[in-house]
Amino acid sequence: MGHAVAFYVFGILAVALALATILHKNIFKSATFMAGMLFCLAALFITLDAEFLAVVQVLVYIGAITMLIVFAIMLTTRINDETRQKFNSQLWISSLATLGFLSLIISVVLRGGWGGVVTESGSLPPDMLGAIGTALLSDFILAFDVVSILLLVALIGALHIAKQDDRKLYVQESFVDDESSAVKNHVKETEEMHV
Amino acid sequence: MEIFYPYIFMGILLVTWLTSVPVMVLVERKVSGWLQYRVGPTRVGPWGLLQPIADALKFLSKEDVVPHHVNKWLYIFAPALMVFPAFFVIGVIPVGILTLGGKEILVQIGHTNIGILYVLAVSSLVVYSITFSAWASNNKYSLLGGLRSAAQMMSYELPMGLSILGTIMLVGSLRLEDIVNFQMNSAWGIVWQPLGALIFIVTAFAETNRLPFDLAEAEAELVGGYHTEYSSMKFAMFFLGEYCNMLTASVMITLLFLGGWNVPFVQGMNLEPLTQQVIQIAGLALKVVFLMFFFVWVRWTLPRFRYDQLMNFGWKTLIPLALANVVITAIVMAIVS
Repeated sequence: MGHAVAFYVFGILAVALALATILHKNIFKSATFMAGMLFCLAALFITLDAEFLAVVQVLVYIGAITMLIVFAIMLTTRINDETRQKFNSQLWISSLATLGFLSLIISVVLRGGWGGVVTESGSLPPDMLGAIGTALLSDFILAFDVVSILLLVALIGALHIAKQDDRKLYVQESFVDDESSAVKNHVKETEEMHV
Repeated sequence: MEIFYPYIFMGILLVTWLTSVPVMVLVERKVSGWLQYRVGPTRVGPWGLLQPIADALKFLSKEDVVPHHVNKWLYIFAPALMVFPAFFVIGVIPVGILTLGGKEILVQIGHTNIGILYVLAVSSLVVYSITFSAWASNNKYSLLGGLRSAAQMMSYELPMGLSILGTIMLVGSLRLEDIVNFQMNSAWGIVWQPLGALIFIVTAFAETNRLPFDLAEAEAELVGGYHTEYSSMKFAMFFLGEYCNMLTASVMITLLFLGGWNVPFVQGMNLEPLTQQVIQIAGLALKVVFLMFFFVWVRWTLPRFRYDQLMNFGWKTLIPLALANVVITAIVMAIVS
């Protein structure tokens, strides 16, 4: 009973914070709300007896990914700009896509078939962690490896891009002043074009 | 009666953690005095013993300034967020076993299968407090401190997680009590995992933002770093959080690598179970006190890292070493078994 109440409270809170994330004008606060939303998700996992998932949620999504986003936002200027545009012109297309995705998720959930980890009696195995580890390294080893390689590719790609930017910046700094102001003007113009 | 134990333990542990803060403030000032051939605080009470109380009174009675240029909500929220993980983390830390009413009871608030992961996850939330305070202060020194700290804590979380992997592989469990039991039955973790222990202790300094890793505040360069704009009790909250995290880090080092509540030779002395267990808890406390002293000792011994040194050390030294430790542990385990 207590679990159910907590589940719905955190569920509603998570939805509210998710809405706040996309609707708030200030991008730093959006990131803050996102961290709160992810924390509510972790709480949801706890109410579902998925301790490991909850902790990994906090460790990876809140402790690392959202933190990286916050880090990137702190380095950008114009974050306090209230006139910053929040939505683009693709509102209808994106809502259609979102609704399609939602119906896909609902159909998958309704189909059920959550076999595998859950034992015959419908309860979770006592050694949840061991079960997850064994499943990852036996039945799902291919998916596990593919994801690892994907992450490695992303890592190398990020390094490559970062290194390229480094060189460009170096070139820009070595230009004389009027040259760099021309670059700044160009940046400003392109920004205005996007707005 | 048994259902009340978690609440009793919760009270005792919370009070322990909270009282450790004023004590540590005094110890830090006294020890730093000795290390620098000074006397430290002497004016308030005999031997300066009442200094923490004077400090607390000062913090409470000072004007609480909220500068007009700050982002008010986050500015107020950030110090609270510092204290929240510091107390949240106590929930899974075991400090000993007591025989009460003929039953052996683990002194721990909540029992969980994922003890270490929980501690790592919750203590990683501290960085939010620092970045929020940094950004909300709307001050360049605060922002620089916050940026540094965010990068530092994210970089050092990785080697910290990897350094305990060897211990987890040896024990085969994420429960802190299992890890202590393993050390009781064999040798302390520092014997099994010397490299892991070293890396964990170094990263613990970085995660608690203590010197030589206190680049987030670096008073010589950044005025006060992320808490430059804070005053009175809000400023004190950051201190409270820092010392609580230090205590948690010390307890974790003890549990993982210094045998937890294991006191050598006590098990062979044929004492009554309860006496033995109380001695063991006192042993844990003694180890923790030594580590806290070690934290202060290091602070006044080593100079601060430069920022690039810090990043290079974290990514190019600690992470490869921690990975090597995992691989070596795995190979040795495979050969032995």
